[in-house]
Amino acid sequence: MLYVYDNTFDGLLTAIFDIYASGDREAVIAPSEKFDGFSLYDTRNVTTDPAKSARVQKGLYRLGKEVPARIYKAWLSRADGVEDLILAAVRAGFAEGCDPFALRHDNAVRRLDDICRKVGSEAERMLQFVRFVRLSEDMYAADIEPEYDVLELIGDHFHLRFPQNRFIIRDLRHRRAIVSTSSGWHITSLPESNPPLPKGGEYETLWRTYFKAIANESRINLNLQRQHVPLKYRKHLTEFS
Amino acid sequence: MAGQTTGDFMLEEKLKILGDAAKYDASCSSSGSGRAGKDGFGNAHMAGICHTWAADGRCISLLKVLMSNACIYNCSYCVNRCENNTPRAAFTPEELACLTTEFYRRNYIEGLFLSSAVVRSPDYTMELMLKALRILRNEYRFYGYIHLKVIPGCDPRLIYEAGLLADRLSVNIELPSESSLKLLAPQKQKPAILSPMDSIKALKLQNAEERKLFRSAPLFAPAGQTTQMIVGATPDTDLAILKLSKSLYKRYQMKRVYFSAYIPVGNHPVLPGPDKPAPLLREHRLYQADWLMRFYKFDADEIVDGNHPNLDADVDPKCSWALRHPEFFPVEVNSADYEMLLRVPGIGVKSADRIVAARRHRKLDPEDLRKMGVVMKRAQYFVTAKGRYIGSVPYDSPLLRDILAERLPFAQMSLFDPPGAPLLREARGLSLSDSTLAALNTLPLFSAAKTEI
Repeated sequence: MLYVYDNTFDGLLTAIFDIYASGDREAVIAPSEKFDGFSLYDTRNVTTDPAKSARVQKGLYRLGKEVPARIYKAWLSRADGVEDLILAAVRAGFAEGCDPFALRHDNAVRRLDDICRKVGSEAERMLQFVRFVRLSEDMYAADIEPEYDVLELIGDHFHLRFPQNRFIIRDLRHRRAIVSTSSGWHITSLPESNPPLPKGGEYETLWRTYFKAIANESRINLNLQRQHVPLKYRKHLTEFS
Repeated sequence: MAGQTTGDFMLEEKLKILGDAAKYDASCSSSGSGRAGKDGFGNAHMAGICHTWAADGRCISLLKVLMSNACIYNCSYCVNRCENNTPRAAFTPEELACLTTEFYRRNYIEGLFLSSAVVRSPDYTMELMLKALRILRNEYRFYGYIHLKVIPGCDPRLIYEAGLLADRLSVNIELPSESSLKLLAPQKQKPAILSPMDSIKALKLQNAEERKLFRSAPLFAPAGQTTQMIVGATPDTDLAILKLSKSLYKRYQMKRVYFSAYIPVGNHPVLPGPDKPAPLLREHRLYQADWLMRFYKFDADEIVDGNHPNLDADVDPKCSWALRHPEFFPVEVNSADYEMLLRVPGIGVKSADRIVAARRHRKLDPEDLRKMGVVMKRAQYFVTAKGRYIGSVPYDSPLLRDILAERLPFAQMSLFDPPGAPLLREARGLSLSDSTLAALNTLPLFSAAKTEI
């Protein structure tokens, strides 16, 4: 049976709940955005139910405190087939009664763990690589183009750091943005075309000056630099533009 | 924002000079503190964040600058020594505080790393730096990370105030031995360097007691203290350096001891000349050894000893230890304890954790090890899994050293290869030294493989 869910994390967990309830050992899961209506499997549309989702989350939490968060992180990748990896890992975890991520010899678990870490490390990179431009006294803006949709993982960090600023972080690839004010932050979607951010401010120049001065010319190592700051991220980095 | 700068061009010049002068400080870490406040902005991220990497491949986490580079001292190894002909500049405390917050608000940095040449006197210099910190903390309500370099010889009361304002304090020990210090920095004395370290340690202990009684007592240097020494400027051995850093960790509860490869900046008769390249490999090996002591439960005496007073240039210190101690290997991954797993070259903290977690559920075979993230390139020669050894040569082979040093090509065994075959395949067409060839030919595996291919 192919379970089609509504592209939400709650929907996915509801699907897992339904699969366990039906005892279906051959189940596969697909999000409706990737399902074109044709499948060799019998299909069933999952009706998202927050209560079922909460029960699955509670069960996963019992296997390990980090488990729901890690599964969520991997799910954010929207990688093809990630749902089936999640289902396999959840099954392995419940079967062994342990944190599924401890079972790295299991191929599905390993692939899921690797995806989860890729998403996590890109979120971490965004904490490093967001570069704000000041628009007015207390208003800042930044552009990013991460491979994964990681805004949800970085909103808290920036909101807590700059609680009194108003700022927007635009993810131009996924066309979503974090909007933060002193009262909180939320994510909105962006229109197709967005005006470019202003360039050439005084402190941008100072930062580039410093960036050049701090490099030790007797130990230049551009390969190492490229490992840490891959070229794909440099487009929006003040010091590389 | 308040604290206007004194003309843009001036500030840019100053930043260039004082950033350039600070690049010899190795520390860049912004970890170990969780400072936060609601009435201002900024916080310290417990794990630290690097914001970018400079062309030398080193991370930039903090705005690392000197308050001033106009020094009254004349230490031979230092670019800022008073007799050196180099442009001089100084920030005003207001300028520096403003620059820090402007950079911070744009997410360029995690905070400030402030150091200084000695201007007029140690006390005067400390006062100048503390003024900048006070503006940051009290006026701007800045809660980001601050690392302050304490000037040896300053009044202990200034150290106390510094600890209340900064997250981390450090005093550079500069050189690995007293004789080296006498030779190259005659104006700095060992007691003058060690006494601020003692003060910081004592104040931190006292602060911990206070905070047990009153949770509202102010934090003193929550990210602790660190130090740095220059390597390669003097004839000190790695053994001396590692012993010293071990005692620094122990006696002063240092969070980190940094090593900085000496880059020729002067021509003192005893210093390496300007044509000598910086000993970057040695610095790298020292950091690897430091890691072994801090995270892998190695002792300084195990890494280097009287017979081997310097670290091996060919292979990393862990491989070097393993090669000197074949009696511990190969290790059976399904039964070895955690400490022993950590000692296997190619197994790190993460993969050791994973092995321990996974083997509770089933016995691991060699293929599983790769899935745990073990670097089989090195580990294959030191482990068995379910009793199976898959190294391309035996673990006591005289060739192992050459293979680990990548002088002989590494080759992975495939299922269908006779033992030794991949090595032969890779070795063919290489110009090998006679001694290596002789060692190759003594291998029974190898001669067996030769007949089969």
